Amino acid sequence: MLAIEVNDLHKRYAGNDVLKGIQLHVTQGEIFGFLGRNGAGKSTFIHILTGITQPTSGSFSILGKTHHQMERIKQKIGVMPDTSNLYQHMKALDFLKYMAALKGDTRSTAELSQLLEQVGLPHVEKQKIKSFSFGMKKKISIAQALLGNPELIFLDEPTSGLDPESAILIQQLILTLKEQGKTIFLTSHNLTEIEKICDTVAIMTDGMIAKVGTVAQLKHAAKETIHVHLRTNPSLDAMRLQECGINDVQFIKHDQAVSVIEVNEEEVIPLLIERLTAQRVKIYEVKIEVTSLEDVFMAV
Amino acid sequence: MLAILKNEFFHTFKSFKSVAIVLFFTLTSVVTASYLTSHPELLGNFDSQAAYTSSIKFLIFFFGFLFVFAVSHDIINREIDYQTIRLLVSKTSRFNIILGKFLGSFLFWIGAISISFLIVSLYARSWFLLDYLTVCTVLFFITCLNIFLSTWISRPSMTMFVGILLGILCPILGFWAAFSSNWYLLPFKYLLPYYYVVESNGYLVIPFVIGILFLAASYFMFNRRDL
Repeated sequence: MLAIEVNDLHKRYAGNDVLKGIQLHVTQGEIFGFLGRNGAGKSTFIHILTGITQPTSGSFSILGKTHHQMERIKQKIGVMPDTSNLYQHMKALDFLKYMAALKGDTRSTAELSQLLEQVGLPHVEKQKIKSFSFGMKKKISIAQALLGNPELIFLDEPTSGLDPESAILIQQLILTLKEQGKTIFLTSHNLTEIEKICDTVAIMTDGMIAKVGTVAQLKHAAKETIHVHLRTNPSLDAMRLQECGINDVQFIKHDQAVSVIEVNEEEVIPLLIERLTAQRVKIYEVKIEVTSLEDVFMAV
Repeated sequence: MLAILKNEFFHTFKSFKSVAIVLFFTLTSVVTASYLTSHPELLGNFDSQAAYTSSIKFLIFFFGFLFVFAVSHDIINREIDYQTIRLLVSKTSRFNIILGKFLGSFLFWIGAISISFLIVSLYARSWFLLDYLTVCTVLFFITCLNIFLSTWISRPSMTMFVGILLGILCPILGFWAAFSSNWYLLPFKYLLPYYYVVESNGYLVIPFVIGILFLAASYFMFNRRDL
């Protein structure tokens, strides 16, 4: 079953086309990573799906409910907005109580405290939100998105600005939510994180979905190449590489005593090392770098 | 909706301005009522009932706009400005937000005015139902207009300015129009509640209806807005 189905979604702001016919499917129970440069239209897209903004044209359905049934959709989703603007004057627990009441979530004070602990905010119930650090505000923003037992959770950059330990905690929480059968729609500028936890990734550029697929599919589609970083003496150049007599090997650059060579297949690497050794080239260090999501993203 | 109502009600109660206004209402009622009770000769041929509630009516009719705008001018646009509205709108309907905000604010003022009327009633040993309903109708109208302005104007600083301006102009123009037949005052005569208050009785339904129209317009604007 599809968690999100978007058809030809357009949004026009002050004469500018921010979204230009988005077409997207998100399967239920997966972690869906949504990437895009600043200003690509990611936030606008999420705002439309969560009822914050109205679409200019097109349609979407969430968990089987069409965009005309937005109030029913709201009962099934949890939203962590992109900005950490919360009710600064409220105490953490009071804020969660208010948000829970809005969602019709009847969990007790103890259960709300437990939720705070779950997102890495123990013993802050009585603290006012205005005294929170940026990271703490992110965490409480995630906590309020989990109220009402939502089936689909939108998390807009949940780990940006968090320390590594907190970021790992949130990533683990996201994976736990997936195990519970929830669908996560996640945006992040941390491509390593997206690569690590997402099942499917979409890359948005200039108001359109440029690429969508699993991380492996995207890498494959982006011509998977392997970069071999070699620290040698003497240093390598295109001429010496040609003398090795191996096809599908390309000299890329030489930088700070390290030469970068591009090969198409993994099997070529031992052969390359063998030929270079035969040429009395001393190899001190070998580092292999395969195509990453970052490379795919940069190529879009 | 109830969560928003409750939050708005207590949020209004917690502000210094509102506490000061409630205290001012209460003290004025106590002083006026106790003074009239201890000096019945002052009432003379004057309708004693009208005298007892005159201070409350005076405060609401002449300063009601100013009080409500001062306390709640940013009731909607504050949330839009701080983007906290996104937390609300992704959880509940826009109708619930407008209605909850309105009821929270209106009930605060009804609560404040009810305390004053209760004090006066205890002193005078009489109930002032018509006066109470009249004041409630005017407060209803003002609260609805306040919601409309706060939805229409997106900047809180602007609603504060417009609120103060209207708070001063509305009573002046309203009462002037109520007793005048000048053509250029007709819009104020029929739009503001003063003419209907002067006419009293069945006419009091009209400010109530205009208030509902303000609320409906607020919902219509809010429903179409990107937040």
